[in-house]
Amino acid sequence: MSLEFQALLPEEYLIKHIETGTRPDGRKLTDRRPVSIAGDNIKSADGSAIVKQGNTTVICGIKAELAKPTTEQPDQGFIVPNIILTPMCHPNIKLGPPSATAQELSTFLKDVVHASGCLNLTDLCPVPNRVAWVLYIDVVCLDHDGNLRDAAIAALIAALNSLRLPQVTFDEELEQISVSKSKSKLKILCNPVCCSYSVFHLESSEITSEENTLLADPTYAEEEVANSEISFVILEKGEICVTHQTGDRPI
Amino acid sequence: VLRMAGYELLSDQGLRLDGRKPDELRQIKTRLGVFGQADGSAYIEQGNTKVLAAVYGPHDMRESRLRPNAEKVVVNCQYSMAVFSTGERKRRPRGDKKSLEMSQHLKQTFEATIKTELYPRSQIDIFVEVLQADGGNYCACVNAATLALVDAGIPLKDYVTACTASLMLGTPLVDISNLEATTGGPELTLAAHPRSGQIVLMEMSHRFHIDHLPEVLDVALEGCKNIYTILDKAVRRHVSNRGASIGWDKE
Repeated sequence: MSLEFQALLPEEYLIKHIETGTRPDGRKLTDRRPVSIAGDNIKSADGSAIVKQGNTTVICGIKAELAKPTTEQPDQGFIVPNIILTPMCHPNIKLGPPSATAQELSTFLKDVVHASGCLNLTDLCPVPNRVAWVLYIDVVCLDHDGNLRDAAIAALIAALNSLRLPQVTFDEELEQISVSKSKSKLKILCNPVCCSYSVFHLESSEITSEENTLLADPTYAEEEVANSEISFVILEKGEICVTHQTGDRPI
Repeated sequence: VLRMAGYELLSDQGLRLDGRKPDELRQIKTRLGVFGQADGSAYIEQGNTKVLAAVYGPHDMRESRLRPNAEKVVVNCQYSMAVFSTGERKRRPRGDKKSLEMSQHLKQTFEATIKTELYPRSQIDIFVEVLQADGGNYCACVNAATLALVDAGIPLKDYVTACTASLMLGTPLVDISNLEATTGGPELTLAAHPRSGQIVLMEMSHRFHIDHLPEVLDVALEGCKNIYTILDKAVRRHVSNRGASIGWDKE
C-alpha cells in the first residue's frame, strides 16, 4: 500500500513522513547515512579511492601527466576534476555527453579544490617554467542514491591523500626530462568535508516553527521532490570555504 | 625459453611471468548484488583486471533508437572503460571503435544466452565498467555480466563464461595477462556455455598454424569450464547468504 502511495504521490509520501520527524528509511531528519571510504584500490591509477555512502557509490581515480606550465603562472601545476555519471548508476541517466548536472558538479569540485586550499599548486610544479604536473581527477558515479556532492568530495580528498608522484628533474643542457622510479606522497594541507541538505517548504509545519525543513544527506527520492538544496564545505578548523545553493525559493 | 625485451614469458621451470603454470587461471574474486539501484549487479576481479556489471530490466523500451521486437527482448549492452583503468589515461571512455566493438560482442553473446522469447517488446540493459584493465577485459566483462544477470533473476539458457588462451613455443597458455598479450603471441578469446560446451563467440588475433587450433581451443574451453565452477560456487554462496538472512531454512 505504501509503495503505491510513494509511486503515485511521492511528495505527499515524503511530507507525511517528515511531519512525524522520521524519513522513509528510518533516519531522523538530521541523521546521515553511514560512510565507508577505502583508498588506493586501483593500481592503474596514481591515486584512487572508493566511497560508499548508504547506497551511493562513487570511485575516484587520479592520473598524473606532465605538461608545460603557462607563462602567466610558470610555477603552478594543473588540476582537472571531472565527474562522470554512468548509465549504470540510475535508470534515469542516459548515455551521451555530460549533462548539465554533471558539468555543474564538475565545476563544484574544481571550486572546492581551489577555495579550500587543500593543495598548493606550486607543489605540483617540480621545475618552474619547464615541467608541471596535470592531475586528471575523475570521479565515476557507480550507484546514485542521492547526495553525490558529499560522496564526490570525500572520494576526491581520499584519492588525493593516496596519490603518489615520482620525482621529476630537468636537465637544462640536454633538454631532457627524467622521472624517478620512487614515488612520494603529495602534501595535502587540509581535508575539506561537504555536508548537503535538501530543503522542503512546508506550508503548515507542526514540528518546527520555521518555514524551511532541512533533511541531511538526502536520498535520490528525497532529492527529486525537494524544493531546494544547500551544501556547505567545511575545513578541519570549522571554517566554511564553499557554500552552494540551488532551488526555486530563497532561503 | 622465449625472451623478449628482457622478459621470460615461459621460464625453464615452465612458469609464467606471474608465477603461474601454463594451464592455471588467475585468481578470481567475485561479489554479487553490489548496487542498490540496479536490478542486478556484480563485481569480478580476475588477477588485476577489475570489472563491474549492472543489469536493468526487463523494462519497457525507453530508447527510441532501438526498435521493439515483437518476438524477443532487445538486449542493449554498453562497454565502458574508466579513464584511469589503463596505463595511459583514456581520452574517450566510450564511443570509440574498440568500445563499440566490445559492446557489440557482448550483445551477441548475451542474445545467445538469455531466454529472449520470454520478454517480447521489452528491453534488458547490461552495463559493464572496467575499473582496472590487465588483459582479458572482454572475458571479465562476460563473467561479471553473467553474475549480474543471475542476480537480476533473468532466465538464462546456461551460464556463459569466457576465457583467453595463447600459444607460446608449443605450450598453450590460459588466461593471459596484458603483458603476455602485448609481448607474446596470438590471443584466442572464447565465450562458451560451459555445461553443453557450445561456443558462443570466438575471436583470435595474430596467427598460428591451423594444426595448433584444437589444442588451444581445448585449453580455452577447459578454462571456461573452470571459471564456471568458480562462478557457480559464488552464486550458490550468495543465494544461501541472502536466504539465511530472511530465514529460508527455518521453514
